[in-house]
Amino acid sequence: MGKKFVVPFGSQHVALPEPIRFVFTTENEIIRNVAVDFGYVHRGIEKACMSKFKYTQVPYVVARVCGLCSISHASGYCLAIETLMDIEVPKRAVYLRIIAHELDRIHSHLFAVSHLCEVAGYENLFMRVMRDRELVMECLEIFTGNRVQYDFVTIGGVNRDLTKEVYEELKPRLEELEKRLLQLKEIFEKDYTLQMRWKGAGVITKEMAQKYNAVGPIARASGLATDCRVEFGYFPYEELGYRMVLYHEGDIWARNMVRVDESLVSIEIAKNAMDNLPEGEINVRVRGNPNGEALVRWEAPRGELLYYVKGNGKPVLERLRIKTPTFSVIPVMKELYYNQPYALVPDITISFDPCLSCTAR
Amino acid sequence: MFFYSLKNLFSPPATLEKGTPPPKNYRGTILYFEETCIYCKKCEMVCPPGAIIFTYPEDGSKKLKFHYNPYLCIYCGECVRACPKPGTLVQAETPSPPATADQKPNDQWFEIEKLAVESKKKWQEARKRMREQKNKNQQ
Amino acid sequence: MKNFQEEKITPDQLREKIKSFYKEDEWHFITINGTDTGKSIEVKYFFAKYGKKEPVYALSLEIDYDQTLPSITDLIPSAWIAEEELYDLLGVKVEKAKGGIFLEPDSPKAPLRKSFQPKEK
Ligand code: SF4
Ligand code: SF4
Repeated sequence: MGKKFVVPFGSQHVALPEPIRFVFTTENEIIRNVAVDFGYVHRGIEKACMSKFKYTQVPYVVARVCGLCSISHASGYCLAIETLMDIEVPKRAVYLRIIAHELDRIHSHLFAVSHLCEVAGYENLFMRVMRDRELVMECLEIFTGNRVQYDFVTIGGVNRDLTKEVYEELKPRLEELEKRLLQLKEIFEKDYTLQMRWKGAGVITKEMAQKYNAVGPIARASGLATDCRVEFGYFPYEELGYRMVLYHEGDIWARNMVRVDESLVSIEIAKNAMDNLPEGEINVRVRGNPNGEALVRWEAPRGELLYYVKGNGKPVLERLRIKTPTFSVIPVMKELYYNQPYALVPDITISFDPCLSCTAR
Repeated sequence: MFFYSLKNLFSPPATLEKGTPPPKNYRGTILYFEETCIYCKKCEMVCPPGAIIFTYPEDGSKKLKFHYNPYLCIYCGECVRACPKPGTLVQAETPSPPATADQKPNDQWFEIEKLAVESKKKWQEARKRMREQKNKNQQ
Repeated sequence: MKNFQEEKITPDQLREKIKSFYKEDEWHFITINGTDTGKSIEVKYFFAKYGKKEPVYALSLEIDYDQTLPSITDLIPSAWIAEEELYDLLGVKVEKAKGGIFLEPDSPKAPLRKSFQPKEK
């Protein structure tokens, strides 16, 4: 029995991109108790969407919930409204959404991977992953016309078309990225230091993932086969070469590998969608006001994103609920810290790829 | 990995040089051409952040004045798509010039926002008077 | 068009109902959502099945503004975060919820209620 020490982690910490605060009670460097606090950046986006903005303006507002997965938010919301109002989106627009969404997933995953390398102390690899990520950022910039906030999706379709020139710019970049990602994967599989650091650390078992309802890459790294792209079936992913990436180790290394592998799958989906792009319109006009309720489970890069909308026949929605992926993984994260050494805390936290501004909204 | 890193020491930076022009099809500033505008105010209504505001002339004529705040605009292009007269609003491919402190972009804009509300009231009164005048003339 | 299955229950039935069907390896608990309808607060519990293309299943109940909602954290451990959110943002009295996670002590109370008036600048 050692003496108990209270060690705070956050709300500002070098490993953290966004504010979250844990208070650990440690005993000989082993964590015995955890308290968590977040919501430092509550911006009241739900309230704003329910009181100030018309439902046609909301896609641009919810895109600002998160910088890394803005496409997921905008498309999740648009899909919910389209379901509610029975709007049939043209097939070409669906494919364009898939392309944008998968490119978005790649850049978000690569960001998480690089950040994890940085926290492990491997600055060189961090720079390398960031450099490769630049390729997909360029793709998105050419494709949507902006680097971070894409404003690509609207209710009833998308805003920009994929022209021949854009296609020719995108294709070689994606092929180059695939090559580089395969090299990176080899490094992650073989590198001695990273194996020592990540293998067997912060293990989430399948039972634990089920008990605490983990989502996204965290669940899939623990062998829990859940993916909203399959379960909700909103887009034709299966015909575009989707396959589920599943690891069973459940440690930091597995969560990292899930992200690398999923990026590879995403490149494949994006390429297939670009090659088989159907002809036709890219958006339809929307009339009337939403009345009723609908919900959408959307697979954002970090996991399941829930959009629940309720309209009452007025231009302003009655309720808009955003449940972000990190919201769902905080319970399992908290549980995971028990009996882990304090030195592993930054790696474990970042291996979840937490996005706290989304969670606080 | 080692050789890759060593090579990186001698290769040019991966990021773009400062001053590289934005790529083609970049979403830039909104340009307004008054000649074709019919003052339907659709662009004002759809703009998510409210970066377009019309102020009203006091004499009650239909010629509204267009105000655009490039620092509030999110360059989404909704206004361009909403406009019934193609060519009145155009999205340029160059970004807006950065704001400087001595321009006081915020304060100016707040004044315009206030002005829009006040001038609308005056305009409506002027319209009412005009209508009454017209009715009298007809009788 | 509504795209999920909904079952209406009363607050007292909630725990029994969840006990009767919820299994960890079969059901994925998504979240709890609260809506202020103007007269009362409508609370919905969303569940989905793992690996199945089935509509989301929702349990829906209504409570008055000052009524206490039973906690389900002992049945579904990850529900605490959603209950805290209900407590903070909608001012629903949930058993065991302490509050202060989504909002700070000096923030406005229950901002998602219809009666909430933002402070003038
Ligand atoms: S581009 Fe978007 S934000 Fe800018 S003025 Fe037009 S509608 Fe408003
Ligand atoms: S939508 Fe076009 S025509 Fe109508 S007021 Fe705006 S610029 Fe003028």
